[in-house]
Amino acid sequence: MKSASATRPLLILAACTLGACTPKAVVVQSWTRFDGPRHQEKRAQFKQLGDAITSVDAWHYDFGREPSPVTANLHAVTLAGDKAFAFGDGGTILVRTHDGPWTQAPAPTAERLRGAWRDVHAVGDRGTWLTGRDGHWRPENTATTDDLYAVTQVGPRAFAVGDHGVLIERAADGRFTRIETRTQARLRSIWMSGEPPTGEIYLVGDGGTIVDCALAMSPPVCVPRASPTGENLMQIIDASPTTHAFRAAGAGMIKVLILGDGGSTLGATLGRIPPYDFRQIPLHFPARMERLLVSRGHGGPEGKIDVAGERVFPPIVTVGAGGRGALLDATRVVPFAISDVGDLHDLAGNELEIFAVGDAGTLVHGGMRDAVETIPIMHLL
Amino acid sequence: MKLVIPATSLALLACAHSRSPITLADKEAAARPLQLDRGVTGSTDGWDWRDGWGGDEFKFVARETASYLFRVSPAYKGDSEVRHVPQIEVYTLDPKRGRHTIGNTSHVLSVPLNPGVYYVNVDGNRVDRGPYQLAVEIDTRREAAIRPEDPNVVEPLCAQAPALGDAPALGTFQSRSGGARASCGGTGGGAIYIVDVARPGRVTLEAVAHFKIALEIRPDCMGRPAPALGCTKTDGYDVTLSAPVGPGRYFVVVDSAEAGALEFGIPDGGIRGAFSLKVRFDGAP
Repeated sequence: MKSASATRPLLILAACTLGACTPKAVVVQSWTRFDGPRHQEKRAQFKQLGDAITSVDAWHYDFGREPSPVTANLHAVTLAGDKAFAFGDGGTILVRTHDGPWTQAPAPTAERLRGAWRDVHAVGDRGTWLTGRDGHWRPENTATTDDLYAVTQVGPRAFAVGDHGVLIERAADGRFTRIETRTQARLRSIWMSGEPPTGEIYLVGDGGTIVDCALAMSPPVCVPRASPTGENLMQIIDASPTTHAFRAAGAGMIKVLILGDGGSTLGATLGRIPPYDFRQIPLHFPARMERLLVSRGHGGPEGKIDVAGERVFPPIVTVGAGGRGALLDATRVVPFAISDVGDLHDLAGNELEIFAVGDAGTLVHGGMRDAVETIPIMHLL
Repeated sequence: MKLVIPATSLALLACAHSRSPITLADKEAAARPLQLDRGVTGSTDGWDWRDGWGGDEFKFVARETASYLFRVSPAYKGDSEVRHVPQIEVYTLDPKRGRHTIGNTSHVLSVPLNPGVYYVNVDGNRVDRGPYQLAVEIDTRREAAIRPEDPNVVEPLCAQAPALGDAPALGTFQSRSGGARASCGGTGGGAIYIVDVARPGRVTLEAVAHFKIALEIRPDCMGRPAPALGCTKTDGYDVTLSAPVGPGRYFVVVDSAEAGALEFGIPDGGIRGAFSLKVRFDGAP
């Protein structure tokens, strides 16, 4: 990475179409090696699958489209243990083991599934809520008909958001409660701030909507927050794992990041006391991005990894409409586009590999060639 | 030998104190009332450290959210010689948390309290004992966490107060000593808004917050001792206040109806939270 021969393209389009290009490498697994008394290595191993779409040379980053058993649009992807799960139209649920391939799982609903949390919760249209256990999914009655877009677990409780400002809480005993959010906007994402049960959840959605819900009260009390944008806010994430990367990029020490569909990113500074006041963070992402993924290496306080012999921050990845996306590190934003995959709707992964899902059953895998995570023994203790 | 000494001591203690140990419940049941601005006296005499919960117990009822100043001192004997140092501990009894200490001192203690029942334990140390005097008053000193409005704090807030419009005001409240304070009880803070009224009618204010909220509308921001047009507080997290108004400019104060813990680096009353405030005006027919 960043070697003398590395190209620095501003826009890298796919050089070939699906199945017509030279096979390229994708990360398929990683393994751990103990190397002397001071270090162990978690090394990405590469295998040729033969269906890579494009490569972002500046990062040695390869994207490969994986065979999909469905043509339904996929809206959510999540990781749990050594498995990946994808969810989409018509109640589609796909599962991929560590070594692949993707297979279709039985689904107890025909409704579109839009959001998921690990292999525990999946939500979708008309108030659909599935709970997963041992690979089996069971529908539950949320008593709402609004479409649900995202779900997250907070301690023993789970929360889902969706159309018309809906916020649904699932208590530990399985009871559902609708919580007043004081907005009618479509809510698309949830982020937990602080520690349950007394922390706060932030909800974001269309028209720049930001809502802060305090969990210390029963029921939680939600208060809208001022927003510096009118864009539809697609996602809110914990940025603290890569706060050093954001700082190196000149964005300051960022605690939380919100992705807007017009290219805006909002954030709150690390160290502030809630409730957070969000400000514009100029990261210069392309417009119409839907999802953002930040991750950190575990090899030191800054969270860097080794790529081609150089220590770098794992790139921050964003994907969205038209198979477009961008990679960001401390020095630049590199837009990319994966051809013939349609819109990408969700992203999940870690510091070494990612999965993205999108229209027409699209399943994309991404990873960095020669990425190595070196973990000093001290950090393991 | 190591075993013999403690065993002997325990045997002696058992002989000397055959009665049941005094419990916390015993002390609270026998607690004497401590009233605002009225001192009490007592004595810390006694082998309290062996009896369980020692010292004298007082029960204090705080009627409003305010900073309270507890003072304890030795009561001087005829020869003016001070022989002991009485100490106090202010605490609450929470059904969930049990006994929760708010503060302790051997001199003065200023603590912000919410309305409620509090206990004060007065005790000497394990050797010194003797008469003491105890008093509590509302703390109006400059260093009090909660105190009356301070012009140096509030006047700049008045000068910068934004006007309430069609969209709700979305803000962050932080309690502040000497800040804008609802007259019906609050910590004081930095949230003041303007409402301009062109004709007679009724102003209705609705607020929701992450703290128990107090809301006041007043004809002057500060300086003229005019009574508030309306002030209300709630035990919940949303509140509505409605008042008839004539043409003119009015000021709305958002305040916290309860003091929080003095933690997390938040100064003064220890409350920080989000709020939303919206106004509606209905003209007189």
